[in-house]
Amino acid sequence: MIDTIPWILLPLGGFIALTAAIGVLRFPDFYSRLHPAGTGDTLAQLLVLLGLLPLVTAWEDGAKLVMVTVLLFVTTPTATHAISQAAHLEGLRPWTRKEESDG
Amino acid sequence: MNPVLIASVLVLIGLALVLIRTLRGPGVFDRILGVNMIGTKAVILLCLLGFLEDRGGFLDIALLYALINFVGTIAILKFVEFRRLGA
Amino acid sequence: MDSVFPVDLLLLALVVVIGVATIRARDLLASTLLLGVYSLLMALVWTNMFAMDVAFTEAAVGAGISTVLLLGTLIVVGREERPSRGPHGAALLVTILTGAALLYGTTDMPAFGDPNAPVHTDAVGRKYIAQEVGKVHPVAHHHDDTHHDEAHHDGADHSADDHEPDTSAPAEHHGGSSEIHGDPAQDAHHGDYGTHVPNLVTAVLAAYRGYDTMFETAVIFTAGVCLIVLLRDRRSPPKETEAAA
Repeated sequence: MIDTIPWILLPLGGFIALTAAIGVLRFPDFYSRLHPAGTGDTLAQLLVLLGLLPLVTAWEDGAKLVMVTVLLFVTTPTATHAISQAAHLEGLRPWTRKEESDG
Repeated sequence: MNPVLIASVLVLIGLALVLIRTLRGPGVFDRILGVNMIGTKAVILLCLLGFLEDRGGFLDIALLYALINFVGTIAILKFVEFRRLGA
Repeated sequence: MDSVFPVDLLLLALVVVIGVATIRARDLLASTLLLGVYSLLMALVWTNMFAMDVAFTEAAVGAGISTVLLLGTLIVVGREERPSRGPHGAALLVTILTGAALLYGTTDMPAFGDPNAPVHTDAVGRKYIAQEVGKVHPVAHHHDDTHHDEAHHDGADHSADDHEPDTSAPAEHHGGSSEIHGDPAQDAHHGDYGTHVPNLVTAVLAAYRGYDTMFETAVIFTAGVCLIVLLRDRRSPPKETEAAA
């Protein structure tokens, strides 16, 4: 049972990381690219690092892994938010199909 | 076949795609977003590589990265804002 | 090692792409960002080569500190690169010559893991090997003369196993020895590693730890002084300081 957890979570996490990357590459404007970057990457790192937990042999490694997970879980959305806020303050307008841009 | 290897190759391909966005990125913020995302993926990759061959010590570097990536992003944002708002 | 290879290959390809892009970028901020990514990926490559300390330094200095320092430089010099007038002939020549010389130098390098490499055959290397072998096999042979290393300085090479120093000799103690990750199977076979460093390079480093740290401190102090002198806030156009507030 515990051996199958990495087999499920790790490829799933890698797949979501890949999906987020494709989203960042393909979406039309900056604000829409924030979505895969913020949510996709956070989910991907959570899945991957949780998938690695059953493979841990020493308890220190487990503790470090949990620390990395918590740290990334907090900082990734924060950094994304900071980037979007900076872009907003900069005056970057969101992309719309019509040329008029209304936030 | 190894789940860790599958995941690391997937993450690495994702990293390459984000790199294309970073290189191409029309605006500064696209590049910053790309760099931040590459940092996150690098942390994930470091953790994965540590378990690929069952070597210790990788997680310390991953921890360091996770911290530096965040601080670096904030520093870059501060620079950009300072310059633009000053002009 | 095999499963690391595809990851390594992809990483190195990415590093080359980033290097070229960094040089070609006109926007200096983009160059700075790309340099950060470059350091990040290089650190990944280092970790793949088991060079943990190099990777640690690369991560902290390359991706962290130098990005911030370059940003501080950009505040002073501005964000746009001056348009260049094509390649500089003399600089190109010097670069190509240096690269060729370095490549030529690598042809003299011994094969990876070659037992006949100079490291393993010259006097200092053999002395350390003799010491280390003595530590790994503490009970194999007995030799009462603990000062034999100084006595037959040159003779220790062809009969390393016979002239091993006694492990209990206090003079042979190395610092930093608590970080041993001895393979348990090897431990059972070779006896206890005890308080000794199994890796030769680490043992040499540990033996010269004091000098190492002293000069490192001097270098870092000098670098810090230079940075303070360089980055002191001398420009004071009033409009910029207002905008910062």
